[in-house]
Amino acid sequence: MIQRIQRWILRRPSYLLALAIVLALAIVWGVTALRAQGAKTLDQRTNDVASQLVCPVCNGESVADAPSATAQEMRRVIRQKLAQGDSEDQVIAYFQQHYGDTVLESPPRQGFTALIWLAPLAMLLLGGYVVVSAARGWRTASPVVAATVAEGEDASALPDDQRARLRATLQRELDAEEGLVPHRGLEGS
Amino acid sequence: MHFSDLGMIAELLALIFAAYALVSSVLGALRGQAALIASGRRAVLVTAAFLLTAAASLAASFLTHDFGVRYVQEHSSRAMPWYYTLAAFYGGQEGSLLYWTLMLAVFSSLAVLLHRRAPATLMPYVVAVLMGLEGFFLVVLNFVSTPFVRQRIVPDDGAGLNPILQDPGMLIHPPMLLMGYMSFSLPFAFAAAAMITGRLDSAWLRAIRRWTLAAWSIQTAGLLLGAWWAYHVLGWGGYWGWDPVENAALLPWLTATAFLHSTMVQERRGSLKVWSLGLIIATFLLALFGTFEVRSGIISSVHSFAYSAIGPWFLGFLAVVIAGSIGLFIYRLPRLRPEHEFTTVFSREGSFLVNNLLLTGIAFATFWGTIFPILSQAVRNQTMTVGKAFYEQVNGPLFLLLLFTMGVGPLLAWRRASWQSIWRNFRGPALVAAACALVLPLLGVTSVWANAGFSVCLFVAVTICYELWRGVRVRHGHGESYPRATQMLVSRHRQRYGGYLVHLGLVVLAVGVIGSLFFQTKTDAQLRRGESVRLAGYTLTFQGTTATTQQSVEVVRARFAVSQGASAVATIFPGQRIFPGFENQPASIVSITTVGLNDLYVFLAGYDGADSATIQVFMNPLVPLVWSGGVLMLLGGIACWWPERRRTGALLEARQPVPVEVTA
Repeated sequence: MIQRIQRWILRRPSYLLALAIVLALAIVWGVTALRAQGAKTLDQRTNDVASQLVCPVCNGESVADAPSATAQEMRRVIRQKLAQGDSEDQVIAYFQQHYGDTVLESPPRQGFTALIWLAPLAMLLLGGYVVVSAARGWRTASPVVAATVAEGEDASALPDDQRARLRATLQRELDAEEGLVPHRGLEGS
Repeated sequence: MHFSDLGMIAELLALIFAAYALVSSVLGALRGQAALIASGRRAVLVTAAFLLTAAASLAASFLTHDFGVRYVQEHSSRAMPWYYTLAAFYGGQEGSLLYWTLMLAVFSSLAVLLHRRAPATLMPYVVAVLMGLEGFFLVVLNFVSTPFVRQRIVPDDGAGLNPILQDPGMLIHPPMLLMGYMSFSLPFAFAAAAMITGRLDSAWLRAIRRWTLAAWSIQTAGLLLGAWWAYHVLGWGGYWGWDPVENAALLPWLTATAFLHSTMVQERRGSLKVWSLGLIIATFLLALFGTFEVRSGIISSVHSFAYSAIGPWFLGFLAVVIAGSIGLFIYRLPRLRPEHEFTTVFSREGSFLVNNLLLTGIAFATFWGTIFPILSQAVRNQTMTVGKAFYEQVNGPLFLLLLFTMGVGPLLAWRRASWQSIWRNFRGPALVAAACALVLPLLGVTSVWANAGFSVCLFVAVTICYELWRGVRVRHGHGESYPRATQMLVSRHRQRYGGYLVHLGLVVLAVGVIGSLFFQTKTDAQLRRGESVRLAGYTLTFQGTTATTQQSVEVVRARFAVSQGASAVATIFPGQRIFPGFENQPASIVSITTVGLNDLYVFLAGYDGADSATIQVFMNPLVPLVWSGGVLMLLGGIACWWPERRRTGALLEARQPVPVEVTA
């Protein structure tokens, strides 16, 4: 069994390479994700917290971005609390208690405001379903192949050299008839 | 008689001629009278001429400091230099409205002149729809919100312009964006006319695509200028804050981009007609929503400066346009049947579908986030803000997928791509991208999202270069030198390579966005003279502030010496401008020092005498790439749009009234 799989793979080195690429990406991104959890400076943590809070007196800018005195003061408080050993969530909860939910940059994922997160997700899923089912419909509904291969780039199933030859011939023909019959080029318009 | 009286008369005459153009075009089309249709076309030109007169009158009122005109008095003052006085034209809602209306008239005239030979059945209705829109704006302009109202007491001086708007960016950014919003009227007019006449064929498609491409390019420029202005003026270290007004400008851009892609499928395969038509209608509605939102003040934003009572008018108009479009759309649905069927999702068509799904997904999420505070207010009676965090978490991954699709799509064959061909086309770029993903952590990229983003960007860039290289190699194989082969290839397929240039620009822009999003560092500092602050290897030493007065504007400049290690880099002067009458609203002078691909961004938040200053220092990596990528996109858009000389014959032929479908 294993030998059969081995043979199957060896006959298709391209699959092996594709698999290797996917695996390599998965490992690199996985390891980076795990390692990124630790090691953040106080500046970064302050900024992380500040960017999750809305400046209460500005035009909807975050505490991290707003230049106002209130935002500066809030950044100072955040830094102080983090330096005292509070966690990010605790600091956010502290501001939430003082200012209410409106101080949060991203609305809570529960209650009414869960809608803001769910609606785009629902739309995407619905859209994805439509796309996939449409593609299914096309596959089953059309035994007729509509058009002949008319353009070089359509013929990507052909070997490279043959395609190149076809394309060159077509281009020569098009060039030759230039000025006699208006044509729309290889690309359409 | 004042200039403003002339303006008032001109805008009234413009309304009359627009109404005439509408009526005579429709009557001419219904009765088949060519003379009436021609007369309607000429009336469009007359409307534009009168609006030009009105605009010139307003400009003259501004330049002559005619403070008897309330709009002039409220938005300018004698102390302002002439260019800002002129820019105050669109500093308020009435002037913006006049500008919008003028641009629509100018673009309508262009359409009338450029499509002289267009199918005789279509153009009268295009004119009618355009003049219908124009008529609405002219009614509002004449009877609800006119800039020419005079006041009995003429003050000596005006109130001046909001300081934040007295910036070079202001001279060009708002008119560009308003023009962008306006220009989506043209594709909409063609779409509506096609639905009215039932001529939903390829000639129509070509016209509508050119206009959409033009509108897309204008809107791209507007968005870029807006971002640039925000970056250089607002002082928060960024260029895009997912602010409601920014979102409103992005929305029609997103759906127009989706439209430009879906029409490629329509052109090639005759499918997706319903969807494309829906997209172009949605684009126009979103453009109207944007125009309305900026001016209505329903959502608080850093960009909105003018509030007004025209809200109900706009809402009513939106309702009429929505109802009308949907009605027409349903009426014509039977004619929009696809001509061909697809075969598989692994094809160019399939990738366009995914592209459209993602673009509309991003548009929906953005729209939803923008209007959600209003919903929350209505349902729970509780105000809320939807900040950057929401958009970054929802749209970020979608944009990443979109980028990926951008790399994959153009290399897939139409109808069906075999696994072999997919693999042959993608193994090179995939290997390069994988190598990039492996190397990035060694260079200190610790975020997965940043790593994935950079790798995908590289993947797309390589696929584009690879595709170009394949084409050049083929031509070279037939005896052309490489430069000549490249030039011939690109000039012969300018639309395709223009599209690739847009893609490449977006990749460059995306690299800039990822860089500034994930690697920005910043710090606050309160410094006394001689003290210094360090950020990202740079040391900024405070050397005191100076205050001068230039043309009654007080300019405060703080002086900092910037050094890296032992070597001096620059001396910078972040500051504030305090305008007379706006003492509590200082406009900031942000100092941006570009070193390589990094921006050192310094904002003077406050000062206390000459010896104390509070600053915010940002290190924004890769931000210059955002601008260069944006410029590339714009150039690509123009390359796609630019008329082709050698196609003239084909275009003329296409413009003859070929009876593809019988008029209903």
